[in-house]
Amino acid sequence: MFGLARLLFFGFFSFGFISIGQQALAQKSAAAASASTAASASMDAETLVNRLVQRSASLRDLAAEVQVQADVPRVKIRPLSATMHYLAPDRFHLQSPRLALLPRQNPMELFEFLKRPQGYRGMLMGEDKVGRQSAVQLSLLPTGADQDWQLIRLWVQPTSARILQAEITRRSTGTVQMQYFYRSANPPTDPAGLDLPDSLLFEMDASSLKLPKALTADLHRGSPRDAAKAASRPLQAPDGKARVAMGFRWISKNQGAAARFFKTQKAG
Amino acid sequence: MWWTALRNESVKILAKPRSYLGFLAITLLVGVILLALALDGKSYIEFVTSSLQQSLTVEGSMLNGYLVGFIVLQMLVVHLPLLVALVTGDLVSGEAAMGTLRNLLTRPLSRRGLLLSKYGAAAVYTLVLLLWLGIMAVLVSPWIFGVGDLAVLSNEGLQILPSEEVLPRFLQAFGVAFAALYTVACLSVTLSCFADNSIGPIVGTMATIMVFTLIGTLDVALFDQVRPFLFTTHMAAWRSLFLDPVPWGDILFSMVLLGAHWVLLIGIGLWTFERKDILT
Repeated sequence: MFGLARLLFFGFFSFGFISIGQQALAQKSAAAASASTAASASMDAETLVNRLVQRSASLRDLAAEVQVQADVPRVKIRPLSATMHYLAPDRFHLQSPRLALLPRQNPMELFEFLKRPQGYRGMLMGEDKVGRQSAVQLSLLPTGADQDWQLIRLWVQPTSARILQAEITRRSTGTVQMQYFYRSANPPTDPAGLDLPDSLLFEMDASSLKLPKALTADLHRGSPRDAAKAASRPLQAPDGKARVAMGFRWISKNQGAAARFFKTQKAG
Repeated sequence: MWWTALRNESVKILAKPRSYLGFLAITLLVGVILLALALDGKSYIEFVTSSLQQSLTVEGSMLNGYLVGFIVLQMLVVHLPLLVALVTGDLVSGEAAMGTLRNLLTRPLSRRGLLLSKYGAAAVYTLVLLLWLGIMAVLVSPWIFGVGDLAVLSNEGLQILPSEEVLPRFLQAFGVAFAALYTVACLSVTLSCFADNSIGPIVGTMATIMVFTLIGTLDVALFDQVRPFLFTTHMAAWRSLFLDPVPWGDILFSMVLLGAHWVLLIGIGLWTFERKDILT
């Protein structure tokens, strides 16, 4: 499942302004893998959560150029470039003259969520692999019963507390999987330093996606021949999954660019 | 000589009050559609994208002038054949009914030349009517709603076309729509050669469109071989220009078929008119 997703993702970004494939490969040294395995053995959930909280705590204000490509069943939309602004805790805006399909949650939502450890409790679920990288799997469960989200599963590099993959299950929107890709092989040495992904791949189930038939019907070209022709054309996302890939070139991290942008928006 | 006859025929169309009914109808209908979409367009878009929005959000406004223009075009191209036939069905039979046809033929212009000038005038009227629809759809709608990417629903799903590609596609679509509407005009002028009053050709044209459309939409194997050759099957070929990639093969087939209809209908009209016993 993720193999296909990675293939699509690398295919898209190989021509873009970042070369994620190389970056991901750079993170796969055997030494790092063995070190991470050793580290994960001596780590508990609380320590890992604390490190994740520490990494996310400084996230306040971001601006980035972003490339977006959506691969959604029965939807054809071309890749686009845009400017993204994010202001903690939940203000997100994609500035583009084009229409864009994005996941319902903003790309920084997970980091924002991690800032508040009183809302969840973590459990280590053992070791796993993301691609060829070693990771520990951390499950987060809500402490309150009235939460929309039900489960968050994180695949985290134990030595650096870098998130490699996440899966969020919500009552309202179902399960969304996210894969994180980083340009640099090593995260910032400062444990409180921001470690933002350079690319993100969202994947969600879209098998129930339906478009109104009344509007798709074509009075003059509704023959069985036309229907057969339409059916023979390859659909986007043939496995029924919707995927949205976002590649970031960070313009500003915590330098107030988003705050200025949203202030202008409000004034405008 | 032929150009003078064409100009005269065009002036005659201009002089008839019924020629303006089409423009009035288009203006009113477009006005109603624009008002409806301005007041309730968001719920229309929500209806289309409600399933999509369960897991994704659409950033940017889908309801823009290009989408409105597309909706206008889609709704009105269905009605335009009636407006075209209303005028072009009267071109020969109207003269016969008024008793001016015999006088007209006393001029040193052959019957063939006269009828071809009427077919030419029908083309001019169809083009001007379509241009008016184009102005309303592609200039007025974006002026009111602004421009943006065009989201088009087709049998294959939702396609989003970048705004910079939309105007050229509209222009090409108007070309294809003209080919379809001119086929209707040719049919009504040809039927007009058989009649001595205007009602027959107008009703005959509409009846033909209705029967052909019915055959085209009935899911019966018997009609499968016939369906691709009916001009009504290709009336909405302009919509294919908003697919990505554009099925140029299908469009070319539609254009060739519509062109063949022109030749056939004009041929029948000329053959009939040259042998017609003109008594009035």
